[in-house]
Amino acid sequence: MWSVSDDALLDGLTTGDPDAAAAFVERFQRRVYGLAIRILGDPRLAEDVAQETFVRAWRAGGTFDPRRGTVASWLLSITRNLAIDTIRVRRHVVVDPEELLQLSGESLDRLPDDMAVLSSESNRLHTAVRQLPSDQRRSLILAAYYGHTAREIAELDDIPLGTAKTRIRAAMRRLRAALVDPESAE
Amino acid sequence: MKLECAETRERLPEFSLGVIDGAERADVVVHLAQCSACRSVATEYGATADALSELTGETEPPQGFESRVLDRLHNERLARPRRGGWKTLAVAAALAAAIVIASVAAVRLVDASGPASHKQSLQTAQMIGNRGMHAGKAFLTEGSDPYLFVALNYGMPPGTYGITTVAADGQTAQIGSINIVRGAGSWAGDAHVPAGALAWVRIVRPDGHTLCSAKFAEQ
Repeated sequence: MWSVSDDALLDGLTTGDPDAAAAFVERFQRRVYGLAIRILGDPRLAEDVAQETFVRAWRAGGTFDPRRGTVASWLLSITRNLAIDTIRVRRHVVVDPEELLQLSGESLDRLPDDMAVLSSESNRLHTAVRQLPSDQRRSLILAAYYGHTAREIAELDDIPLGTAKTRIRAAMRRLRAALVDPESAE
Repeated sequence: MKLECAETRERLPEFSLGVIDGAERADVVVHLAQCSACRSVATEYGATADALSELTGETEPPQGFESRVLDRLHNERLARPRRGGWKTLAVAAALAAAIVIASVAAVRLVDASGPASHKQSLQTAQMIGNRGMHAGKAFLTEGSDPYLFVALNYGMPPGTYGITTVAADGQTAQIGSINIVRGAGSWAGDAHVPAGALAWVRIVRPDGHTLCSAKFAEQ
């Protein structure tokens, strides 16, 4: 079963094959839960989001197109969106800027332990994120993992809206360059 | 590079992360429908945004998580048997990422090397919900094999909804699904109906109730 491709497991999940469903959950549960707990910081909410991710994957598996990306990125995008929705709905879950700074610094520094499971593409992206100026990295993380708009980031960090937009855009330009054209990004 | 291209590319980072506001999102979607060069750039930004989600590493979930998920999937299957299975859904060819960051989906479903017909002018129709609420817009390219774009940015509850077309002869078909996150979402893909023959596009809840719809002009 473990040699089965991600795409084939997703097909099995969506057609109701219980073995495929079990293998799919086993294969992705740590990454899905890992993203949810990193964003939400609350184990109970993170489990709710992780469970819902797999249910959504079952419902919407037929919409996955392997030409457009990997099963992992598709699945984790579901997790991210659900986690951001949870943050929005449960307003008592307040993002602590100090924790976010920790996320942008120390937590990413710990990532090399996990790098064995990451692709060379993720490796390049990880390096590029760490090399971003800290203000750009913070704005990027607030947008990418917490779904904050530039306007919200401007209010949160007490900076002009234009500055928040510039930081997000500059960070994403550098990350895109790192993925698409690594030599020019270095 | 045209000014429109420059403005669009400035907005693509926020667009790809799903943190752009509704009006700007609509402008980007309209431009991308007509500009293959910007679609190519948008696809790269979309891949970058997706890759960021993979950077957070792995964490062991709580004990019993896997069995709780499988129990829930089993119960969901009993409660909501899928009609037709995934292959039927897959017929709606370009449904790539309705559940991926919704704004990114609009980019990725359009191949950067797509046929020239995709660069033709667009028909635009308002998506109207209850009590005349303007929920967003639908865009349709011309030609015999048109692309349909749906961008919703107001008044939609979070969730995943079906996208149904109604042809001028009354024939209906579900061609995809759209995921609403933080009140907004977008979708793009083959309309499966010649542009002149498409009468309505509807956003439909799983129970069949229509949340909003757009009417295209008869030709």
